[in-house]
Formats: sequence, structure tokens, C-alpha cells
Amino acid sequence: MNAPLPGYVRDMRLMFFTWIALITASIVFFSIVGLTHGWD
Amino acid sequence: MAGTERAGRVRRFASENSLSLFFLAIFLAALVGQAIAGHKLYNQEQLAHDAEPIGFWAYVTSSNFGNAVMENWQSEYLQFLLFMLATVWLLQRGSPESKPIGEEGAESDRKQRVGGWAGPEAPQWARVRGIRNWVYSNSLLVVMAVIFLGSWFAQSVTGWTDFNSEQRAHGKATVSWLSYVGSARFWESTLQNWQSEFLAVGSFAVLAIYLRQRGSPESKPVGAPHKTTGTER
Repeated sequence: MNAPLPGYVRDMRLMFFTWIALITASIVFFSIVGLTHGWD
Repeated sequence: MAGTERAGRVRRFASENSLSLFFLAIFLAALVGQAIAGHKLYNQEQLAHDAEPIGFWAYVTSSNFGNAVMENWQSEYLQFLLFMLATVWLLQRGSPESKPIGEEGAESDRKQRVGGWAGPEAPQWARVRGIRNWVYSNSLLVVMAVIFLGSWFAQSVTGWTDFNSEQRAHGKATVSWLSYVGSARFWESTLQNWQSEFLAVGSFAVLAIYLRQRGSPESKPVGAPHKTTGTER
């Protein structure tokens, strides 16, 4: 069994993946909006 | 007792991540502000053209809003990735943003602590040789480039859709995506963002030769000589 990760390691991973998810989701979302001719 | 422990953990989290939390908060606040102002402007233009105003949700999920957001994003990521790449080889004497004179290039394995020079806590892919080492050695650049290209693509398709809906509203012919990415409209909106980013980065590197911000890692120490290049202290 692995030892539990220190709190700060979990926090660093949380920040890293939060930013990556925010950016990726926004770019994918607006690409789909543009490609499907949006709801303009 | 558990409450005090929890409060301590939250305080530590907020303090140790304050830089990214601060920027996340002001990013979201500015984005919401942009959406509110953009929605109002969009509807003013709709009314001026005798068209129906649209709801807030319809606006924030529209190509018009997406285009305004993405054209700024792509230029920011281009700026950071170019700055990171250029500072590997290019220098500015006296700037804290430059490496010291004579140290340009990708540097030795020893200095970069890869392969046999990797320490016990080095990331796994820094210890191995071959493709994984190359990928990890350039991973920040690769991810920034993917974000730049992704947001530039999103700018192009949202701009294309927005342009075509304007064309339709004026009873004019629509264009293909390829014609749009070759259009003056696409390049004007792209280059107006690029020029401001390049100016800001170039001037920042030069201003920091003679000017200081006490306490900032982006500045030389206040008492450092003007001729000091790089961040050695």
C-alpha cells in the first residue's frame, strides 16, 4: 500500500488540473460553438 | 477541534496557492464583466438593425462572445511560448528576464539535472533517456503551443460563424472557413492582439534593466548593478 500523499502535493495537482481543465473545456466548447454555427 | 484543524488547512491552502487563486478570481471576474458588457453591446447592435435582442445565456454561448474571448487567449499563449522559446537562445544584457551572457542554448545535462545527473527526487521522465526525456524537457512549450493553436482555431471558427451570420443579416453571401482564415478581418483581429503582446514582452525585458520592483522574482534585487544579466543573486 502506498503512503497517503502529503496535502501540499494534492493541492499542487488540484491547481494544475483545475487550470488545464478550465482552458481545455473552454477551447473545446468554443470550437464546437463555432463549428456548429453556434446559436447566433 | 476538527473545525480549527480544517480552518488551518484552508488557510494554508489559500496562502500556498495565493498566486494562482488570485489570478483565477480576477480572470473570472473580468470574464463575467466582459460577458455583461458584451451582451449589452450585442443587443444594442441587434436593436439598431431591427433584430431581436438575445438572452444572456444565448450570448455567452454564441460565436460572437467566443470569438472575443478566444482571440485574446491565443495571443497570450503565443506571447508566453515565444518568450520561453526565445530566452533559450536570445539574450538581453542587463535584463533579469535573460540568461547570463554566454549561457545561451539548451544547456548541459549536468546543469539541467537529467539522465545520470538527475537527483533522487527528480521527475521520472527526467531520469530516463530518449523520447520520454525529450518530451518532458519540452513539455511546457508543447502544452502552451497546443493551447495557443487550439484557441487560435477556436477564434477562427467562432469568427467565421459570426462573420457569416452578419453576412446573412445583410443579405450577402457566406464564405468558407478557408476564405475566412485568409481574410483581412481574421488577420486584423489576430495581429492587433499579437502586436500588443510582443510590445509588452520586449519592453518589459528592457525596462527591467534599469528599473526594479522590490520583492518581485520578475525583477533584479533593488541593489543589483544595471549590468547584471539574469537572476543570479
